[in-house]
Amino acid sequence: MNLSCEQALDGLLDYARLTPAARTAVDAHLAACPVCRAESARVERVQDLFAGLGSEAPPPDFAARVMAALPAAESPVAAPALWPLALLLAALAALACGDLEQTWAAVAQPAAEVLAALRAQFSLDLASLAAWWRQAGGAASSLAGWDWSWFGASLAIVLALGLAVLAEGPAGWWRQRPHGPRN
Amino acid sequence: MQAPDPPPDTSLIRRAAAGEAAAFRELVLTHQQPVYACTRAICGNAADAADAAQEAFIRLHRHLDQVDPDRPLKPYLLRIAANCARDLLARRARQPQPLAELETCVAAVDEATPAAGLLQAERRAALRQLVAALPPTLREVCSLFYLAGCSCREVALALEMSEGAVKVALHRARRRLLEQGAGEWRSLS
Repeated sequence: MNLSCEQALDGLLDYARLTPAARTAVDAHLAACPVCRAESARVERVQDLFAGLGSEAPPPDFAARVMAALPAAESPVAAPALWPLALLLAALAALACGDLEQTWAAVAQPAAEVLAALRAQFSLDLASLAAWWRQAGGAASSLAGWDWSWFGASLAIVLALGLAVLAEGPAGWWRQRPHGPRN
Repeated sequence: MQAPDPPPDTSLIRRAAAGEAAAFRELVLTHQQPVYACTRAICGNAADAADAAQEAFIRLHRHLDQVDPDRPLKPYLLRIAANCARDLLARRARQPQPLAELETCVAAVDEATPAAGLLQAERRAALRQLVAALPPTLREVCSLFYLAGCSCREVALALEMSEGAVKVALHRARRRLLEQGAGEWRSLS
């Protein structure tokens, strides 16, 4: 490939990014053209000068500063924890598997305890949570005259997990929704 | 004739646009050097350059949903950075501050350590002055090309010029620098 002087000098500017074939063509032109060879020396001299100047490095903590400066409204927002609600709904659903009238009677009585236990659950009071679980199981077992405690508890766990997974969809959308105005 | 552009930051851009902070931080780390070099060239001092570079990344974050993840981010980002730096300069022009002079003094003290070598420090300071004395377009082109490591094509995209105009600007800048004696300093290094 024979290059003109202009093409060779253009190639010289971006020499490091040229394809091997293009470099060979530039080198061949420089070898044959004293004018371009002189210009090539000037290009190299200026490149050396800037190399000696050193690259412009940002402050060491620059990335941290940028991350801290991102507007709070544009930061991903943590979704509210939905699993306690899912757990409550699942427990109610498990109890509702029996006769509705009996279920309501069974649920109305321990409702206060359930709410108290949920409050305790938020503060990670495991003892209260276990007590609530036993009460819920006992209430469930009275519905059908046979031991619902394990069946109800297991069903509640499965339903709770299912609801939590379903709730994660909207929560994920909330976290990942587009931020900020368009131009 | 040029080798193809480096692969774009497709995955990082997508993840950052989806709200993943770690991905955006990775983008900042990847591009902070050329962005800072660009703003440094336009602003002329480190403090303003850091502010403008930071603003550039904040603008990028705000408009991530408009970025095409399949195209190189660097030219787009450098264009934002150049605009941020020019905006900041315009604001500074309305409110003159002695920051640049102060920084010159601080830089002189920093560089004048015995180990660094006084000649080297003087040479760098003098070259910086020569580059700063170039007309704005030549200075920006030079800084992006030589200091930010951009190709002619990337400089053209960043400064919204044609590639030919970038090459002409580089040629003029080179001629000016050499005419003003910059080439003689090589022997001092």
